[in-house]
Amino acid sequence: MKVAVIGYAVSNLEWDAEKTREETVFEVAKSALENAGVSREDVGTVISASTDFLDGRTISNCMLIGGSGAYLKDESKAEEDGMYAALYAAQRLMAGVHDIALAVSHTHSWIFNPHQVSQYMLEPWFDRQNDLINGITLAALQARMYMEKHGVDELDLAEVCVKNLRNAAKVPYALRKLHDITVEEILESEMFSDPLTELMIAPPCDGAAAVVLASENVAEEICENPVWIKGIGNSCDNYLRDRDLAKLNSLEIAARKAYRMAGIEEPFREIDVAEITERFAHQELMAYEALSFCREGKGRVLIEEEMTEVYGDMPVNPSGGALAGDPICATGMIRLIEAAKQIRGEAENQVDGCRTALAHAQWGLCAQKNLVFILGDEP
Amino acid sequence: MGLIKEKYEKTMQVEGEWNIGAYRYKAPEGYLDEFVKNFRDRKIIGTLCTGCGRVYVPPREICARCFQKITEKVEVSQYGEVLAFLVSPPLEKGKVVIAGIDAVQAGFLKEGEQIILAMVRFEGTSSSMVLPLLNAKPEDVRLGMRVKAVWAEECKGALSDLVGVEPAFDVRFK
Amino acid sequence: MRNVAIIGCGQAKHGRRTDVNQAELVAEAVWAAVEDAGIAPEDIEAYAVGNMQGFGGIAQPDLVFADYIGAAGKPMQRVATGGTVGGSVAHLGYYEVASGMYDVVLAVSWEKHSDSAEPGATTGLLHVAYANLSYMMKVGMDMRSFAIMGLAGAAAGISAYQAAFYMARSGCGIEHFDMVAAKARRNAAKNKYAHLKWPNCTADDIAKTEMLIWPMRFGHVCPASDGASCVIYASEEAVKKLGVEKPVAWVKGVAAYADEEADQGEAYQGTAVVDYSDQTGAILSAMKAYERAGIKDPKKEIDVAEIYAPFPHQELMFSERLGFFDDGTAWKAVEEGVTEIDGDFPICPSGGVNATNAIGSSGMQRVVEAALQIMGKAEEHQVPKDVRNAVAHAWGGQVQFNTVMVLGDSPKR
Repeated sequence: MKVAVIGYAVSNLEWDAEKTREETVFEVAKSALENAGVSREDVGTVISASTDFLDGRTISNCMLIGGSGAYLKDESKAEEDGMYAALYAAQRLMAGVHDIALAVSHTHSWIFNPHQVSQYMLEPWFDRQNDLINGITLAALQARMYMEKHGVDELDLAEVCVKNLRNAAKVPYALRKLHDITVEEILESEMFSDPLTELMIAPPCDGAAAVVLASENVAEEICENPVWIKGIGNSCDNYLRDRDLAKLNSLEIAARKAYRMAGIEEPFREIDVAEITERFAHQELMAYEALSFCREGKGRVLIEEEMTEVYGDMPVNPSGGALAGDPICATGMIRLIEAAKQIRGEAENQVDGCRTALAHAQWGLCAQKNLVFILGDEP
Repeated sequence: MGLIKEKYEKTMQVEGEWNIGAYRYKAPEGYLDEFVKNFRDRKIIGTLCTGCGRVYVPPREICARCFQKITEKVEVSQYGEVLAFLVSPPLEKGKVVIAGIDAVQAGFLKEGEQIILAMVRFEGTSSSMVLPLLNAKPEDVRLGMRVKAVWAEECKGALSDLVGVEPAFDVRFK
Repeated sequence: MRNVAIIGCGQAKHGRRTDVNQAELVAEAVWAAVEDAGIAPEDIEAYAVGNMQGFGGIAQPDLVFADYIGAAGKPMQRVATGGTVGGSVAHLGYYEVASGMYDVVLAVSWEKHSDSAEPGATTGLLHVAYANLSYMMKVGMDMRSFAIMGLAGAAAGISAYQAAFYMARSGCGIEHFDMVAAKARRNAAKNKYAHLKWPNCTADDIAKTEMLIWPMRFGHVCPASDGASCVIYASEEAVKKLGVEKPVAWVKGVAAYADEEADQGEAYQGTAVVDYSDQTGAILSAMKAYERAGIKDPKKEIDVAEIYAPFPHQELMFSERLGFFDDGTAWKAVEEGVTEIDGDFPICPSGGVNATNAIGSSGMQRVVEAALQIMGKAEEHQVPKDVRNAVAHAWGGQVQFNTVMVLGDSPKR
């Protein structure tokens, strides 16, 4: 059974949104259904994504059944990035029990420091006892290891930020829109943890996203231009201490699976655009390599030669990526939405003749877990 | 089984906490504020969904059934009926400890009193509310019993203004 | 739809487990299941995991111990839905195979309550409504009302209200709750993995326990256990390919419909759920699961059920909502001994959640126990009849989530 994305919605990404979780979720769910041209009655299953620690509530979806449209629907909650919710929704459609699914994700980062939550993700027996370790310092370690190994310098990281933040300037909902940003400004922004400066770190914010998926039984009837999910790859790495931090191993495995499923042999040629979740600037370079856009250690060449710009040979993150705004659980789902928009020709930074797109979500410390979707304009 | 554990009977313990008090939760303004402020005038208001006609008390902004925003508000009756109830045993010290505070010792609850919690539906609403049932003995409480709202002597527009409910029109042959 | 079978089950010993940490506890169930299925860890293609992060205090604990369960480098998906989490993980694992993406999937869920410094599950449960309580304090709730709320809260929160509603609706008495609780303890004594075991426990024994808040006694309340439960799913082709010769349990239908929460909402809002014992979600889940399983008359076609009932009234209530008895009559069946292990319609022969509640594990444990009954491997608590179809149910959230899974001894055709 093939599955397509037929509708989507992204809320405005902002810091301290004047909205409750319920309102945020309700608005995106409602507008995604409108975008897809279906009503709540047509939806068979609803999967939401949020986490108890980020929301500060045990059973974070408990009070959101009404808002997410899951009332008296076959529902569940993925406790990770929204793209995993989309994956679960797709699996339910592929199993043939439903025809239309709604996946909703949200995080309000303002209510609690998400980097504190990253500390709660550490194993509590040793790592959490060390106050210096958290999501940012670990990412800095990862950046350092990667940079040392492959001769990458801070300038390359800054180039990634410049590209993404300039792209984001055109995206209406983005949080960080910096049209005239320069490499110097990136490097001179506040140092959080060497080598990562403020602008190299995805800014946690409040936001939500929703997608409507449909099975091949109904997708073409309902939607003029459904975007088909052609490949899915998913993989989880070992915990921090037991893996090579300088390499995104699980992303490589996930990408290979997704390529095989979609019948892609030469990703660089066959994929027209990629939307990836780079919580930190260096992760975008690491992802280039893991996604086989270039050989290991050559990620910086792509950015130096402007190949991943919107006009380049292999545009990456024309939406600005996570660096433009990071509503934790919704970030990956927004990448999926942006990839779908590229195929539909609705993106703000449209890549010409886009027929195959890649969407990527990460989860865990230093991108421990990775999920890759390959989207296409035909089944 | 146990992977490396045969030799050990106990695990090491390390401290750690989930600092729930540091969260800054967002709550809806508007209707709910109005709901509480109206307590000053001893009024109970709810919201009316124009899609299904349900009245939500306390007010709700989104109707899960119709999947739409609720925009109309209505005042509802002060009278209602008991749908079900709980009865506490006579309270003692050390029995009710909340967030580390002994509620009887601290004087929030009286020693020896029995609290009846009634699930009440006020007339004209589609919601049930849990409120203490006052001025009634546990043995006299019955299902479908008519009750009315009891207000604090001085209403300040706070949640505590609505103290509970008490029997109303409950005439029985003696 | 692809046919999917449960080819192996594993449980950790449930109870207060201070001898292992969270990772080891989970590994115990996982490796028991792998052994039971008779497969190699490499045969497992993907994982479904879940627990309630707040109880054990680690956010995304599965990421910490991916290698303990052999998940490194493999796809792993996580769900969490409150009390239903075990059931939800079981569903996720099933869908991972049914979707055609993977052939062999391991689903595990767990809970380690004893890691929480406070007694039982207080912290985790309080945090469901912590935001609401903060809001209510802000708009002027006084300490007396707060204490009164805590009064019922201490007796397992909203379930006490539900018990009251159920009594009002069905006309049953507390003595029936005592009977159900006694049955749970008796059955648990026959289950080597169970927590609260009490051989030959009678309703009178339970009736002697202290009244927490009428109608709930101390003897009615489930323990807070540590535990983990695990199942391994395989597609029909994989069952053949792996050469599984032992009996397997086939998944015939699943559904998980949610109702609106029964109380409060985002801050302090009304809901239209007036009677907490209505359980529309449970009814819908059951009807859909039966429809998918091709079951027309659950009263006749289901042979045994594992119901998620931390409190005895829920066993009565859900056995009606799941269509085993008519509305308001389950307590009569209990009086007649119909739901005993050797009765006509055995319910919770394992002792159920009332005797063992490691929240994350409990929902999955229902699936494991139902599968064991079908495979004929339930040992001492095996029901003495031919088990062709069994139902595993889980309940959670603010009494609004339900998962139902129908298992059978033969694949659906």
